[in-house]
This record gives sequence, C-alpha cells and structure tokens, in this order.
Amino acid sequence: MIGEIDDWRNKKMKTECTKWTDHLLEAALLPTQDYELQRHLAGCEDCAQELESLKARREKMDALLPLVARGGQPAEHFAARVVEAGLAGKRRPQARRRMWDLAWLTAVLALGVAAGLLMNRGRFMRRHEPASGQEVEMAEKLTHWRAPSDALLTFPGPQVLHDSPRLGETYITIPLLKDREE
Amino acid sequence: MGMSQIKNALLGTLRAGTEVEDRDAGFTVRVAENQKRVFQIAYSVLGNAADAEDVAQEAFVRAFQKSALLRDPGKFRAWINRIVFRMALNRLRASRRQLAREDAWQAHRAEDADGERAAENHVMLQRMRTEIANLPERLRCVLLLSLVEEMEPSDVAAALSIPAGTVRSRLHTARKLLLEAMR
Repeated sequence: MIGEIDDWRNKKMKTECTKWTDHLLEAALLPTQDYELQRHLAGCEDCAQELESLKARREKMDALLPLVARGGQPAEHFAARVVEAGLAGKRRPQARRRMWDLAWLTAVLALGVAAGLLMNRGRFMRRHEPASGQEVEMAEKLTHWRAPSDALLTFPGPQVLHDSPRLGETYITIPLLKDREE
Repeated sequence: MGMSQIKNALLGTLRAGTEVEDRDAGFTVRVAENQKRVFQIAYSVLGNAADAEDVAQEAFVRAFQKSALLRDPGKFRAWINRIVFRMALNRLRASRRQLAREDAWQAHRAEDADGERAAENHVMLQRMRTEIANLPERLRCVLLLSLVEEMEPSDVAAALSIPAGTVRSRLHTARKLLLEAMR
C-alpha cells in the first residue's frame, strides 16, 4: 500500500513537473533568477537532478558544437587552387575584352585615316577627279569660240576671193578647146 | 576623332590592364584572408571537407567574377559569407546523397576518435548533427553560422539579412531545442 502511494506521488509529481520543462531548459542555458523555479527545485529532487543533468549536457554540447563547423580543414593547397581557378575563370573574359579593345582601336585608327584622306583629297586626288558641270559647259563654249579673224572663214568674201579670176583671167568661163578639136 | 582621343583610348586600355592586375592581386589576398571561414561555413552546412572545398572554391570564383557588383570593397567579408552559405544550402537541397555525405562526415570524425571518451564524443557529435539537421531551417541557419569561427552575431545577421537581435533570439531557441532533443 505504501509503495502504491509512493508511485502515485511520483506520477503526480512528474505530471506536475512537466510544466517546469521549459524553465529547466532556460536555467540550463543561462543563469536564471526564476524564484518560482528555485522554490520548486528546493522541494523537487527529480527536477533538481534534471537541471544538473541538463547543465552537464549543455556543457558537453557547447564543447562539441564548434566541431560541427570546425571539424574539417581545407586541403593544404586549397587557397592556391582557388586563386588559380578564379584567375582562369577571369582570364577568358579579360582576353575577350582586350580583343574587343584592340578591335575598337583598330576601327578608330581606320576611321581616322579615312577621315584624313577625305579631308586632304584635294591635294592627293584633284588630277583624277571628274570635271564639274560648269567646267564642262565652259569647255564646250571654248570649243565653239572663234577668234574675230575666223569670221572671214564663214564670210562670203573668201569664197568670192576664191572664185574671183586671178590676175589675167576673165570672169567669163570659156571652155578651152583641146588641140584635137582645133 | 583626333589623335588625342586615340591616345586617351590607348592610355585607358593600359590603365584598365593595370586595374585588372590590381584586382587579381586583391583576389589572392582576399582568398588568403577569408578561406578558413568560408570553408567552415560550407563545412558546417555540408558536413564533409570535399564538398565544402568545392563549394568554397565555387563561391570565391563567383565573387571574383562578380566583383564589379560590389560597390564597397569593405563589405567583401559579409558578401562572400552570404554567397558561400547560399551555395552550400543549395547544394545540400539539391543533393540526394545527403545520407552518404553524413556517413562520409562520420567517417572523417572517426579518424579523430581516440579512446572511450573520444568515441562517446563522436557518438554525441553524430547525434547532435542529426538533431541540428532536424531543426527548423531559420534556426538551423543561425546556429550553423554562429558555430563558425570569427562569425559574430553581426556577421551572421549580415549573411542572413536579418537583425542582430533576431540572430541572438534564434540562436537561443536553437540551442534550447537542441538541448531538449539531446536528452
């Protein structure tokens, strides 16, 4: 009978103690001034033991937790490998960019040379350039231009002179008889 | 376009070349300064050195390639932390070999086991890692990052883009749940 009562008391205590679970965890993690908990612990050996157990586990946990992140170490030449990979990854775009820079500069130079030639074409290309319309018109006028003395060539005078009998000749054309006819 | 402009363009190209060299040198220095922490962040998530190295290297290369996006070089530390953590999480989520990785991690830890106490620690560590994996992600992320050396709450906050106060409260909750689970 006494044993049954003790069991009942223990069960009741455990049921009542579940409400202290969170308080015990907090007390295990941080120093606490939870006076209600302190009063409970003074009268509850199970909870006092549980708190000591939690504190011990927390210390062990804190000692081991860093190993979760610090347990592994990078290989000896890790940094060198990373740098090599980083620079190799960068080199390709750099080379491409330099190629574009060179192409751009070449284009600029080509444009500069072309602009220079265009600006100085009068000096280099005047001989070969085609005549303008005005020049052609002037040349045609010159072709048809006649000196004042040339007017005599079209005037009937020269023809008159040409047709006029020479000295000792007559205006009347008299056909000359050939010797046989005479 | 005059000769002066062409000259300027050539000088610009040469200057750009110098900048590239400076950036390359800067990258080498940054890898040296951050490699340990970056590796640990990846390791804390993935649990084995080989995968952690892969992800850490990938994170550095990506950071280097995108370095032009980083306006403030002083924020490189927070930036690379965030990159490697995200990449490690993505790798973990994408991987269907998580169990195998756990085994690999356990095997790695077993190499350090020496004596009864070490074996006990090893078992507890295994169990702890399993319980951490079961934590809600928002708590797990904070806990894992907080375990990395040189990671202050402000660093964790920057990596996860949450306030430092939230980091502290989540860390406390994570530790409490873990302690409860480890009973």
